[in-house]
Amino acid sequence: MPQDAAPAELQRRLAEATAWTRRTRRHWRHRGVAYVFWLWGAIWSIGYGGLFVWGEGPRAAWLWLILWALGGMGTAAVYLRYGWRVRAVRTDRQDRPAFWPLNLLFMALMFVVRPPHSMYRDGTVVALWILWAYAVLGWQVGRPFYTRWAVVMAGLTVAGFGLLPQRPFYLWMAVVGGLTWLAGGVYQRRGREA
Amino acid sequence: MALALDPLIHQPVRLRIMTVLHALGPEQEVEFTTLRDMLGVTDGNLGSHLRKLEEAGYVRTHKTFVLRRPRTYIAVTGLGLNAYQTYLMALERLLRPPEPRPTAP
Repeated sequence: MPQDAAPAELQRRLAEATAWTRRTRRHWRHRGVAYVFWLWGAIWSIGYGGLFVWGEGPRAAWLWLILWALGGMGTAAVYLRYGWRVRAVRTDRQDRPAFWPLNLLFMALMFVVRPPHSMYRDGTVVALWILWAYAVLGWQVGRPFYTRWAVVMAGLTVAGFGLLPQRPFYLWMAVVGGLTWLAGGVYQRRGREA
Repeated sequence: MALALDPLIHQPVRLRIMTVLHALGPEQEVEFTTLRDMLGVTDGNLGSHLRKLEEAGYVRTHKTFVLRRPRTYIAVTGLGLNAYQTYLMALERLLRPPEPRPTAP
């Protein structure tokens, strides 16, 4: 019987279970999303940093175009490496009562910064749209962390947009926005939640 | 109450399988070859251990296509989660030093 095994063997089993739990949480539980968060944290910091330093113009626009392309390729690479290996069991959570109010909330936030006819407004609309997608994704794949994180990020974005002049807003997005992305990645990689 | 160690989970490879699936949680599933590479076992070895765990109702598998390739995904069940947690509790209890008996004055 297993319970008659020597204490050293039982100790080994327990140590092994602890080590495998830690390893799985660190490398697999987040399904690579932690790396996507780090990638986009860097992109936000560099992109908004460029806007802060150079102001609006062709140079900042080109920077953003390159960063978007790199971000898209990086996200695809992470998916190809991790996405199909560990994945969420398919769930349909659209019947949750908060799903539609949450959608409406994000649409309302986008209307706050309308009409999009400058990089200042366009960029914020795009940022909010991405966050909205994360919030909905969190609902659909049963990952409340994405939703909570997206709501916090949207709050910070709108607060910066409403309270700060244009140039300091870019610095706000580079530092606070970028760091919030990075922190989200660290949190997931620690295996708290993916 | 004395908790018995589940012999099905106590086997080293099955313990690793259950630990990985428990760490992923019941809301996530892992692809067969990924689990095989993580554990460093062969296809046949992993398949036979998974069959035993599936027969006990501890894991469930499902086959699907991803990027036109057939893939098998494995996830822990609620029964498997309980069995694994009970196993760990039993293990910890067996390893705990016996409490000192009260001595007579």
